[in-house]
Amino acid sequence: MIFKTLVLFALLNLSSLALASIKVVTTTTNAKALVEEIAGDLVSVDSLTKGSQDPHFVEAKPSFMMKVAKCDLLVSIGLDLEIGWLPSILRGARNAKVMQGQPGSLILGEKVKPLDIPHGGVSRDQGDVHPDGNPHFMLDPVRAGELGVELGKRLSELDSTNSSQYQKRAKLFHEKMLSLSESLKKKIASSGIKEIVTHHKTLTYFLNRMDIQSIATIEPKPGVPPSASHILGLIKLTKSKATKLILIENYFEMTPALRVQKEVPGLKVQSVPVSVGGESNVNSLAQLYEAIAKSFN
Amino acid sequence: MRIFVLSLVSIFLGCGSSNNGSDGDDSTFSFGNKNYVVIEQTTLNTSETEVDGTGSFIAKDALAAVASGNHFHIVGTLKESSTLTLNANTTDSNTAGLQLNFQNAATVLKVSMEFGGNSVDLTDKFAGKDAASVSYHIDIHNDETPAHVLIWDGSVTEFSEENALFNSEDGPAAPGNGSGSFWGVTLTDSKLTKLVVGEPEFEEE
Amino acid sequence: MGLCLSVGFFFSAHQVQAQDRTGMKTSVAVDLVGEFAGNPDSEAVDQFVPRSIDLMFYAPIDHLFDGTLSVAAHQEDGAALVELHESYVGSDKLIPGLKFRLGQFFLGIGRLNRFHQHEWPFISTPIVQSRFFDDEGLIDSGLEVSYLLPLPFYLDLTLGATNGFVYGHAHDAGEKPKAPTHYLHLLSFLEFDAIDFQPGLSMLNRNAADGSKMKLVGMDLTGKIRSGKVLRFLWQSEVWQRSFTPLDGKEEISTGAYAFPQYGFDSGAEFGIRFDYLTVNTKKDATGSKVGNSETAIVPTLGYRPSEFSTWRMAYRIEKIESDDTDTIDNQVLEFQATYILGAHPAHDF
Repeated sequence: MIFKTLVLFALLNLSSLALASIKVVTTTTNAKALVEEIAGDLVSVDSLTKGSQDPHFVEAKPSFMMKVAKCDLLVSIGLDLEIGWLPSILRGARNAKVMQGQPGSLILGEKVKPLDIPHGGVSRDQGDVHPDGNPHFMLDPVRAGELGVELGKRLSELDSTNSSQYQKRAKLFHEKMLSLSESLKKKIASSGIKEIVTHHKTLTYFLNRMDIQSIATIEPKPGVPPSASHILGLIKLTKSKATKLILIENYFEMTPALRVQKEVPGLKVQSVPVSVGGESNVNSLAQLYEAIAKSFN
Repeated sequence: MRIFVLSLVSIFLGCGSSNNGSDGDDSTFSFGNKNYVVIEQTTLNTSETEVDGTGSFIAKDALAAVASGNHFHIVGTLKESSTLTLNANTTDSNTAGLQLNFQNAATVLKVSMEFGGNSVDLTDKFAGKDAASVSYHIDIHNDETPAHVLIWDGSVTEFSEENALFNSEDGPAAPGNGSGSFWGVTLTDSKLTKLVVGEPEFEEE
Repeated sequence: MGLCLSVGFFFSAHQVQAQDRTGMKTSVAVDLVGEFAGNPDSEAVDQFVPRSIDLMFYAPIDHLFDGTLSVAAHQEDGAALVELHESYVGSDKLIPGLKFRLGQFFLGIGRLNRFHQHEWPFISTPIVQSRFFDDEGLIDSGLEVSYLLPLPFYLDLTLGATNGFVYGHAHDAGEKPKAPTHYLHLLSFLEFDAIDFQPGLSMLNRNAADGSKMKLVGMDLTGKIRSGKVLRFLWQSEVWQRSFTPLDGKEEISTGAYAFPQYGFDSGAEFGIRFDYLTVNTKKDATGSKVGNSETAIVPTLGYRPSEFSTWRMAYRIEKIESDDTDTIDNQVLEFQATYILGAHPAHDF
C-alpha cells in the first residue's frame, strides 16, 4: 500500500513537472486579460495592478519584485505608463530574462501605432504628457486583437510546444475583436451621441474606433485637477454644444463632472470601468468594451 | 596627658582645613560653582575661586558623549617652568584624553597638543603672548576625526575661524581623538582662576 | 547648516533616446532650505539657502553592467564645494536574484541612509541620523551585494564592505582602518488589504585606524496606504543602538530613534509630526553615578506636493537637550523647504 502511494506520488510530481507552465506577469489587468485570451490554462498569469487602480500611480512594492523575479515573461504597456514604478520593480527583481530587449519582455506599446503623439516641444508645463503617445491603446478592441497576435508569437517563441495553440487562439481572438468592434460601433451610433467629455484621455482609442469625438477633458492638463475657471469653461462649452454625456474613468473623482452636470440640462455623467476587474461584471476584455459601450445608451 | 589631647585636637583640625566649599570628601571640591574630583593630589590647594599647586582633577559632570564637541574657557597663571594642561575627552581616571599643554618657558609660552604619546607643537601660533598668563577660549570637536581644535584669545567674544589663533584644520592636525567623555586639568606648580565648559562656539556650516 | 548643491537632469526616456542613443539619463534635484529662530536661544542660522543640488547620471554600460554617477554641490564656509557623492558600476543581470554595486555609494543600511536627502519626507535630519551617521547620510567606497532570498516571502539580504578610512563627513582622506567597515541589511515586506509595511534590520561594524570600535544595530519600519496618486498615510521610523569603544576608553552605548507619521490629503497637502529621541545609556559622572540624559525633538511638518517633481514644506522644530547635570537647552527653529526636480527622476522605491 505504501509502495503504491509512493509510486502515485512520484508519478503526480513527474507529470506536474512535465506540465510546468511558463509564468507570465503583466503590469495591468487588461494585459492579463489579453494573456488569458491567448494562452488560457497553458500559462499562469498574474497582474501587478488591480482593475480599480490608476496604473499611472502605483507603489513599487517588494511583493511585485518577487513576482517579476520568478516570471518567464513580463508583459507591460510601455509608452511611459509605468515609468514611475516599473523600473524600480525590475531593479529589485534582478531577473535578466525579463529586462527590456530580452525575449521575456513584451512591451505592447512598441507594437502599436499610438495616437496623441505630441508635436513640437514637450515639457512638464503641459502636465503629465506621454511624449511617445497615448498608452491606453488596450481600450481599442481592434488593436487588442492585433496585440493578441503579437502575444501569440512571443508565447510561441518561449513555449514552442504549445505554439499551435497560441497561434490558433490568437487568430480566433483577433476575429472576435473585429466582429465585436463593428457591433459596438453600431450600438453606439444608435444612441445618437457623437461628442462626449471624459476626465482624462484614457478613452481616446475606444472613442476613435467608435467614431466618437472627445471635445474636452475634465482635467485642464493631464494629471492636473480642474480649477474653478476650467469647470466654468466646461459648463459653457457643453451648453453650447448640447453635450449629452460625460464619461468618468472609475478611478477618478466624480465631483467636478457632477458640478458641470448641475448646470447643463440633459447632460448625463457616467462612471465607466477602463480596466478588466474594474467592476464586478467586467471579467474579460469583451465585457470591458461592452460595459463602456453600454454607457452611451 | 594634656600634650596628648592637644596633639589629637591638632590632627583633627589639620585634616579638615584645606578644602573650602567641598562636601567634606577629600576627593571632591567645588570651584567656580562646579564640582570636581581629584585624581592626583600632590600639592593641590583648592577653593571656590582658585586652584593652585600640582595635581590633576576632572569635572564630576561628564561631557555629553565621547564623540561630542565642547568649548572650554581657561584662565590661569604660570610661574617659570610651570605648566597648565587641559585634558579633554579623557577617561574617568584622567587618561587617554586629548591634551592641550601651556608652559612658561621663561620668555616664551610653549603650547602643544598631545595624544597617545604623539605631540604637536603650536608655539609659533602664540608668538608674542605672555608666557606667565593663560587666558584662552578652546573648542574641541571630538566628533570629527581627528579632533577639530580651535583656540582663541581670552578677550574674544565673537568666534570664527578667521579670528582664531589656531585652527587644526589649517594645520597642524590634532594627533588624535580623546577616548573618554570626561574632562579636566593638570597643574604643575601653576594656578587656575577660571574654568568654564559649554557648547562649541564654532559650528561648521 | 551644511549647504549641498547636487544638480541632476533627468529627461524622459523619449527625449533621452532622441538626444543620446546610449540610453544615458541625467537628473537635477535642488533642495532649498531655510531656518529661522523660533526662540531667543535658538541655534538657527536665520537664512534661506540652497542646501543641496544633485546632478545624477545613469546609463547601461553594456549588456551586463550599469553605471551611476552622482555629483553634489555644497556651500561650505561661504564657498561652493563640489563633491562626488556616488560613482559605481553594478549589475542585476548576472545571477538571478542578485545585484551588486562596486564603487562609492550611500551605504545600503537603515531607511534614510538609502535615499538622497531631497527625497526624505521631512526637512531636517533626525537627531539619531545626524549623530550616528552624518547629516546627509553615510557614503563610502566598497562592494555591496544584495540577494533576494529564494523564499515564498520577500526577504532581501544586503551585505557590504567598504574602505572605512573615514566615517561620515570628513575633510581629509582618513587612515586605513584595522578592518573594512562591514554591514548587513535584511529587508522584508508585509502586505495587507489596506496597508503595506516594510520592516528592516541593520548591523554595521567599524574598527577605525585609531583603535576605536563601533557597532551599530538598528531596525527600520516603513508603512504606506496609497489611494491612487495620494499617499494617504505614511509611517517611517528607525531605532538604533550604537556601541562605541575608544582605544583606551570605556564602552559608550547610545540609543536613538525617530518616528514620523504623516497623513495625505486629496489636494496634495500632507501633515506629519516627527518625534526624535536620543540618550547616552552609559553616561555616568566622575563618581560613577548614572546621569539621566536625553535629546528630544518634536517637528510638526506641513507639506504640499503639486506633482511628484516638487515639494513645499514648512515645519517647526522644538528641540530639548536635558541632562541631570546641566540646565535644559531649548532650541526652536522655523524651517522652510522647497525641492524640485528638473527632468524625470528615477522611479522611487517603496
